[in-house]
Amino acid sequence: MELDAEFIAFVNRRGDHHLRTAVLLTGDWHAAEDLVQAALVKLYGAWPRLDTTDDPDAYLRRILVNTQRSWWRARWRRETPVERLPDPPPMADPGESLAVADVVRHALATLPPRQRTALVLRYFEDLPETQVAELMGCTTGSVKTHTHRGLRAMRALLPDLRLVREGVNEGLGSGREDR
Amino acid sequence: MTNDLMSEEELRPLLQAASADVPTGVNLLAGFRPSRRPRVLVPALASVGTATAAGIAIAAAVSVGGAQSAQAQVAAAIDTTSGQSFKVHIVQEGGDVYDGISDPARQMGVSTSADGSEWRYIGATTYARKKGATLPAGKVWIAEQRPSRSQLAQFPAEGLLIKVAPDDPQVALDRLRAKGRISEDGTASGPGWTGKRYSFALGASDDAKGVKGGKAVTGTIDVDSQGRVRAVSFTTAPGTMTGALHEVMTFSDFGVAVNVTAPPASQVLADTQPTGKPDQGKPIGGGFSKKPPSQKPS
Repeated sequence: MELDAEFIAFVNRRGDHHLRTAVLLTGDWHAAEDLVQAALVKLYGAWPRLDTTDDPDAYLRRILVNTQRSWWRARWRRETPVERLPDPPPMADPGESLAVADVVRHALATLPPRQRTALVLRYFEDLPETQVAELMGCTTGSVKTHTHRGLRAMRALLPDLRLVREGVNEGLGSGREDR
Repeated sequence: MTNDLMSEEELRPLLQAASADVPTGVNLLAGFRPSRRPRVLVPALASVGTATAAGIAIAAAVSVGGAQSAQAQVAAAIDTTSGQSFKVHIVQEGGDVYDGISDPARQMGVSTSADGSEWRYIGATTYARKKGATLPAGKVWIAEQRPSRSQLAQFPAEGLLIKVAPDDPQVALDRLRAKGRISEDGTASGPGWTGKRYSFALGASDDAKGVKGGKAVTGTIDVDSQGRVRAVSFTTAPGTMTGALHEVMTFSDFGVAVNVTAPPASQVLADTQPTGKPDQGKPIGGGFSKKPPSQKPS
């Protein structure tokens, strides 16, 4: 299969961003990789039908959300929630960005999937509530409910925010830049 | 915003940090393969995925060899097993253990994991009680609709075996019947039974058209002298960032009584069904549509 050059360019340009969205939706990198790969295959099937007015980012985002929802329904059994989150990284310990990332991903993974999806679309993708609602197939009121509950759950899961935020501040910039 | 809520300003940098450690070596185009190898006759016929096609596949397999082929013997065993209730015990590499009891004909079953989680399925609904899940006060179970057969047909084979088999082993076995390359591999035995062992292979290219990124799966399937599947052992090929996964499913107590009741409604949190146009009317929302979306997304 010889891939369309524009498609490859799109993946090279935007793949990392969608991979980052996917890891927040799935909770781990290998699942994120699987999810993005599957979504890209679907996108490629529609690629010839997209015209210059279409936004491939939006298209791929929709596929990611739908595919993740479907996968979650199938893989819920494979998820292994824990009784409690791992201890947060030590406050003054340098080089703990990976641990912080793990803790936050773990907290996200503990949320019900629709809360998690709403938080990621609203506060990572920075989409307006109306667009999140359209993507999730629900009302804006439901989006408000999911985000409210998600924010409350995140506070409960990461109560000692100060520790986490300091770890985050250390960790920011150590990863790839979002494009 | 009250103190029991994380603020947007707090969450945004957390999300950035949680996705900043992108691993090296990720190849997002790995799911695209340069070409598909030709398939053998029987899987090609059976890939239609209907009972009729499966029947054709079995007949073809029998006629090719004169005697019943390994493919046909396994297919017959799967048919026999699917008509009975059974207990299933699943052990995954790494120590995860699941025990279940299922009656595919009546569409009901229950299974538990070692950590105390429990899943009940009745008809098209699954009730999951996951240990450690965060649910609203008073809610213990999450109810959701099970994927339809047509949607499961769009799952990668390794996904079926690993993620769906504990819920509905027959679905995974159906894929094996339809597309697996199967050969006899000696004898097998277990508590109270003897039989034959067959080895099988499912390639990632055996997944439905448009579903890529799956992993190859190899393993064995044991069939007892009464023509029932007794064990399925398989290993997935390692992914780009994941190791191989090994799992063993054993089936026993055929004909066991299965009675499953739904949890009290007051304890059940319904997983909200999407109301958007793309998924409306489908048994479950979104995901593995048979073809990529054709409308502009937003």
